[in-house]
Amino acid sequence: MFNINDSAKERTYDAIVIGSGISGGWAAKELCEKGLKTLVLERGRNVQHLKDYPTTNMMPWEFPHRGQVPLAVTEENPVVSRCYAFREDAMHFFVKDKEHPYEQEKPFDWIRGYQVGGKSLLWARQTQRWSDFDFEGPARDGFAVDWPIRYKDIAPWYSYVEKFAGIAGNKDGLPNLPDGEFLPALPLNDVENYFKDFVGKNYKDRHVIFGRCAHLTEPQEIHLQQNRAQCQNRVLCQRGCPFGGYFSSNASTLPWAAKTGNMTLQPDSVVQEIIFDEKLNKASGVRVTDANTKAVTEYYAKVIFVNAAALNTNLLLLNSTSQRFPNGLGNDSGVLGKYVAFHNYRARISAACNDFKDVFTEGRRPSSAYLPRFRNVYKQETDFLRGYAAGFSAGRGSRRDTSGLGQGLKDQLLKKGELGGWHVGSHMMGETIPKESNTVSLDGSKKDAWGMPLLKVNIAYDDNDEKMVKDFHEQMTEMYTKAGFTDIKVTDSKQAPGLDIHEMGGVRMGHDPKTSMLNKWNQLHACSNVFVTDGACMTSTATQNPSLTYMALAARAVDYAVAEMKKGNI
Amino acid sequence: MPINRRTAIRQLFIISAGAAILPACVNNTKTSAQTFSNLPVTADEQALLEEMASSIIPTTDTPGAKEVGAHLFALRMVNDCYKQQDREKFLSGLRGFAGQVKQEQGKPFAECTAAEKEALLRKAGDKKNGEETAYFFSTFKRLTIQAYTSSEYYLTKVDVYKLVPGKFISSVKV
Repeated sequence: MFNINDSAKERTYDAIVIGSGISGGWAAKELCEKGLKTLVLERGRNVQHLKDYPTTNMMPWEFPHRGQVPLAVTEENPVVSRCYAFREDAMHFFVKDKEHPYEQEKPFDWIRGYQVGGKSLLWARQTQRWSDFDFEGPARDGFAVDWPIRYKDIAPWYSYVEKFAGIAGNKDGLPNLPDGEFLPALPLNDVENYFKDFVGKNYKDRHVIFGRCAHLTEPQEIHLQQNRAQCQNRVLCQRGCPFGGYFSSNASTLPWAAKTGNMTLQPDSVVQEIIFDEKLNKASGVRVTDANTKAVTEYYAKVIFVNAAALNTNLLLLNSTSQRFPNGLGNDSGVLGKYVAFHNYRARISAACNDFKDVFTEGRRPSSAYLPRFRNVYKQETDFLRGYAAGFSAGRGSRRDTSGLGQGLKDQLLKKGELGGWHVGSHMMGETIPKESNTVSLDGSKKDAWGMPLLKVNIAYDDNDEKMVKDFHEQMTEMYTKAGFTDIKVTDSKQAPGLDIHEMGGVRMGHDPKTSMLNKWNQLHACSNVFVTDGACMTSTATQNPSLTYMALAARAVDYAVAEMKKGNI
Repeated sequence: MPINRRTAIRQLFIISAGAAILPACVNNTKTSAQTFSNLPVTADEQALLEEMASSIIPTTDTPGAKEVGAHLFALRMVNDCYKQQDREKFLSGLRGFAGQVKQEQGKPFAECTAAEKEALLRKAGDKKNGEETAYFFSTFKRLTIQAYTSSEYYLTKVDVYKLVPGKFISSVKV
């Protein structure tokens, strides 16, 4: 059923952005600022900053289950229920398993946020730059394909997006984690500082720093122009922030794009396929199903940015078939949907610190300490490729004796809790190697409620990942032991890939159209007016949280696309 | 970079706007019997639970478990968040406890003295006197404590919860 009530002209824009999450928001902002009439299509519902954060100012006692998710919800949604942030205060921002099925050929926890702003409302807000030790990884170590860009290509764009988003951090001067445009960092606590000094003194090339994060610790004029205020350290970010204290599409890029007057934001719009014009040899627009009415409408534009989130971008391109591209848009090479990778978050370590009994902390803090990758940075030194970054945080709880009953118990509960000892902990963020066998593909027969083929996910750990888990446990245990921490416990969650929520690749960048989908400008080699600037474009994964890199790539690609349009090349 | 006065005021305005959408508080306290779809507790059993909660955290010159509706919170949690086998164990433990009260005291729990109540509760918590009743009691006690320590009273008067804590201080002397 086609909507024929309005003319094609009214459904024609300069640009279309598919997806309004962290990278789509950036594409929208940049396109609109450059004067392009831009249609932003979001498959989920609208979520307006401030207005649509229903739990943001709720007190703990206002949650009927004090944060816990009811059993009926977890039983119906086992996948999303495994996500740490799927709690009573934010579960409305997550896709429920049942409503959006997919096929797991191997266990894969696909965590999604279908709404305006996508997962930018829910992200962990860690923003570390990549370095050439990361971009040169595949070429040096002989996996995937060479990245078509190097640090110098993206560095100015990191600066560009950091200034606007607002990133807190220290200039640490580390070659493997380049410094950026930083607002003041938050302080580490005494135990974290102790460990930082200990590691710095005892290990060459290992460093503990404050984890750079997208929080406004000291808003600048550009942030106030976005109506965002200083981060208040609520650490309730997953509810949406009433201060705009952390960066999200909802608080930042989308309102900015709207202010230009050039953006049309259309929620509830499930893009089925990108339409390829065989005569013009480029994409002419998109076919969209209304999420509510199921009506199908086509929209047209000169340039299309695909920011549907890594795996959905793969799904959309695979589903965009034509005579020219029978295997998916731009897929001459056959690599579409292959070489998908992620981050290995399985390993953890915890311990006690018996010193620093005379100090504690007050208030909350939205980031903690971070150890950049130290394995195989300058040369190959282990029996596995690449390495891992690690978080590090220390905290001190208080406890009350609850063994009694009656007045005795009540007295215990009413008095100030007794400070416990310090606990320290780290988690692993391991680089995984993109492999041809880690794929996503379309189910040949099953479709979702909007007529989209179900995505089949076939992604698994490999021996390299197992070795890395072991090495993390060994290295961190050694560092913790030497630092004097006690009661050291290591765990391997064995969690399925996907729960890291850092799935990447499938539409990778590369020099050669025979082995990659996108060129160095995130432009499809074979369809010049389609750009992919979300996680799908990633050639390798490095160890850094990837969102900052998507933002920089998106802004850089728009700059290129618009210049090419002006030259008449697109 | 220092912020000038104008931008500081603008920021303050944004912060006030954020705080202004605070919702009204929710009143947790209700006394009449409620229906729990997964947990068929009778009105009498609810009354017993309310009395038990009162014995676990009594009302004095300050509110106790009763004032924060602790037994209803506990029932809501068991009803909504517990697996069927745990709900059944909870219920049969509760009924076992009610039977013990009747057998040992020959009068309702509410009419027992404080010392009798405490003795009954201590016995209920001991696995030697029945595993299901011990499970029921430890679950109910834990949920009663959770209800109390996460109540509006507790988090505004005893251990104040700050929705907007402001500055993080990395090192405070004990």
